[in-house]
Amino acid sequence: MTLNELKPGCCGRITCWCEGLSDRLWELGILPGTMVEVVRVAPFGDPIALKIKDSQIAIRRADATRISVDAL
Amino acid sequence: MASRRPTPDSATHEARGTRRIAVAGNPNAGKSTVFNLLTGMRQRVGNYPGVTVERKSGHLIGAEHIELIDLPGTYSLNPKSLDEQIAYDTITHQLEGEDAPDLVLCVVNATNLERNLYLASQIIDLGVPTILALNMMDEVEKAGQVIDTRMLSEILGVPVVPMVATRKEGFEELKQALTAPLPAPGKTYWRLQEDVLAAVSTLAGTLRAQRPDLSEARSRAECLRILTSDRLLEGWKKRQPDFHQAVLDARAALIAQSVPYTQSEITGRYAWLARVSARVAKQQHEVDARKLTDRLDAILVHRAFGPLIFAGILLLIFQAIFTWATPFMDGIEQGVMALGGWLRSVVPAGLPADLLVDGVLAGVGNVVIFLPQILFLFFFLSLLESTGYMARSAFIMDRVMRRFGLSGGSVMPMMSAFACAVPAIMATRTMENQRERLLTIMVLPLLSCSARLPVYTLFIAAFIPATNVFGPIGYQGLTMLFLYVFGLVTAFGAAWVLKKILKGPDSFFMLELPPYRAPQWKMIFWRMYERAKMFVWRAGRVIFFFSILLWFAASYPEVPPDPNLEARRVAVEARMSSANDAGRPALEAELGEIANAEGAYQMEQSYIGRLGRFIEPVMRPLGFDWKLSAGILSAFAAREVIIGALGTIYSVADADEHSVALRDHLLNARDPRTGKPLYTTLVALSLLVFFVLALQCTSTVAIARRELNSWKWAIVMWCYMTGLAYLAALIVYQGGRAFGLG
Repeated sequence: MTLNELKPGCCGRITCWCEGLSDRLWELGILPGTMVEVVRVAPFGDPIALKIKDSQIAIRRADATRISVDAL
Repeated sequence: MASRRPTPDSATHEARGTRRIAVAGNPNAGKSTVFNLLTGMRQRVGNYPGVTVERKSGHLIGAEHIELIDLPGTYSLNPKSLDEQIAYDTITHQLEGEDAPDLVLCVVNATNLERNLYLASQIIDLGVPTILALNMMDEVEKAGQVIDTRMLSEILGVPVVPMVATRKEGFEELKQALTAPLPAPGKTYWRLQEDVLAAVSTLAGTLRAQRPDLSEARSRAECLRILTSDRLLEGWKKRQPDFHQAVLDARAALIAQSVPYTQSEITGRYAWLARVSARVAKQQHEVDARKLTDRLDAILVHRAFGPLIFAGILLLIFQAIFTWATPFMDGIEQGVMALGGWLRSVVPAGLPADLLVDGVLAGVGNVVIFLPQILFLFFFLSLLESTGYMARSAFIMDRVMRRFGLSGGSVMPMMSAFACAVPAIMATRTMENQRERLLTIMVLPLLSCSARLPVYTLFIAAFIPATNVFGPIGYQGLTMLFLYVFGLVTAFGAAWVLKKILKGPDSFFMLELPPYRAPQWKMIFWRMYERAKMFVWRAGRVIFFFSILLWFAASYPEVPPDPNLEARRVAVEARMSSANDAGRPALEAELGEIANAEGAYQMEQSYIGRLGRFIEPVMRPLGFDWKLSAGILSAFAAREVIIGALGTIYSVADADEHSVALRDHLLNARDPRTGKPLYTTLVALSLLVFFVLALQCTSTVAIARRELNSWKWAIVMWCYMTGLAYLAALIVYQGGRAFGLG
């Protein structure tokens, strides 16, 4: 499943990435093998806030669909 | 990836007994707090050579020979925005006119060790002596963690100073580390994928042939940066076309072998950093550290309450700018007027006094008058920023903004633009997506800045009836509201149209949501002071210059007085000498009237008057006569200038937007041919709409050119806004006439 499908409060492990995403997300630690939790969704439904390593990072749903995760 | 040799430049600094320290760090790592602590807030703010990125520098307290340079906050040395490029270029000594740092102080957010060490390890790889300041150690403790700083220092081979910058803890230790003899460069032990490493080594050989001064490790580290960053590679296109081509070839070869070269550094580095942070950071006991932040977010980013609270905060800021700032602005105005009166009493009358009071002092006054609003605005913006709410506002609004080609990052600049477009445009620098940044800058000046307010006030007070529609809400207030909304709606519309014209790749958006923190009042007031200073300096120079130019254009060429007026004056003066005390006041009033008429006569003959007559045919369809046209022309320097200009044109002494005399003159002006009122409510509306949309501000054009690094976009901005203004005013005036108004 993709990160976009992960429900708020749920955790997953990032498995792979699609082409075309900015390296910036990698640099922030959103890379394969990392644990990620969807903390909350913005009031208008997009972007979503992720907990990754020790910080909260918001990304857009369009980018989240390009990241595959194994739900835990 | 290790190197241990300071660059030659730094050796010369040390020999001279001076030291330059660049302060780097992630956004939200407390870098500014550490910098302020070390410099004691005695800082010089300037620009990096050639770009408008703000360059802050200062001297270490008690060690004047040590200069600290505050680099923009960055997540990595793989630059994606202008800010980050500056940080990279400064550390690697690639900015002309900017000396190489002898030492880099990397401020690390200890609560987020692994990710912050990413940047630190990239800096260490460059072979520059580095010191780590491990900030926010109190929060680490609260989270039930301990960090073994000695072990971290041993692993990286660099001094590590734990600290709590907000409480000054660790300040002395850090100062000692910064003044001690230069530490040896550190080491990192991460592994780069073999294919990429081979490519980097080959490139490093090519680079060293051209730059023999670089150590091998340093040239390897730089080549890795250039290989992975388009932004850095771009710079080599002109500097070294051969090397540029070599990098392109290396990339192509790696792609052909399907080696993900941009990501191999990141995975390699993080794999090592995960081990490092596991070794040095230990969880003592479980604490839910983000509890407070999570609870606050549950309300502040709530589906329903979140947007409502955001709207409430916006309202509060507007209230502050438009209501609370008024008494201060009135005070400044009176002060300037009193000073003018005093100057006139001590400076010889005639040219010196006119230039000083109507030119210089009026110019200074035009700038200083906006300070209260700017200060209020930046108080709130800094408060929101320092508590962590600003990131939430971007999080909430991103979805809405994106429809118009903007992003959550546009929210803060747009809020600033209601005070002044100049700081607003500068606030877009952190936006990574260049297309969104361009769109944001292009529409910012459509938002009604505080310079429009006096114009709105004058014309609304003169032409819109003060009657109430329902309850306390009257036509005047509604008109004011309409003008602000009109500007805002047009800005979104313009962004939407520009988005359709400027096709670009789908935007990427990333936003860190830092934990909420108690505001740091000292920092907030410091930032207010800095912003105010910057505004006075940047916008002030332009407004000041044009105010003097305008005074000149309105006063010259000097013409001989009108013979009819002259004759009247002589007659009145003759009666004055023989009049008794009771008759004097009436005669004095008549003399004053004659003086005003003489002023108007001079104005009509002046450069600005002639220019007004020249463009009158173009402005007629909008309902503007030569006088209003001359006023509007002068307002292209800066909007608020029109009030002083109309005051001059109608010869009302000391005109301001509350001036009853100026208001009456506008109301009573008659068309010399028909004898009908010259200015009607319709003309006023047409003028107001024109002012909402037209780009009448030289400072904005200048700052847009510098920030976008192109005249093209600055000119496009001016043309589209002024074109829209003309069109809208035309529709209002001609449409109104068609319906029999005016």
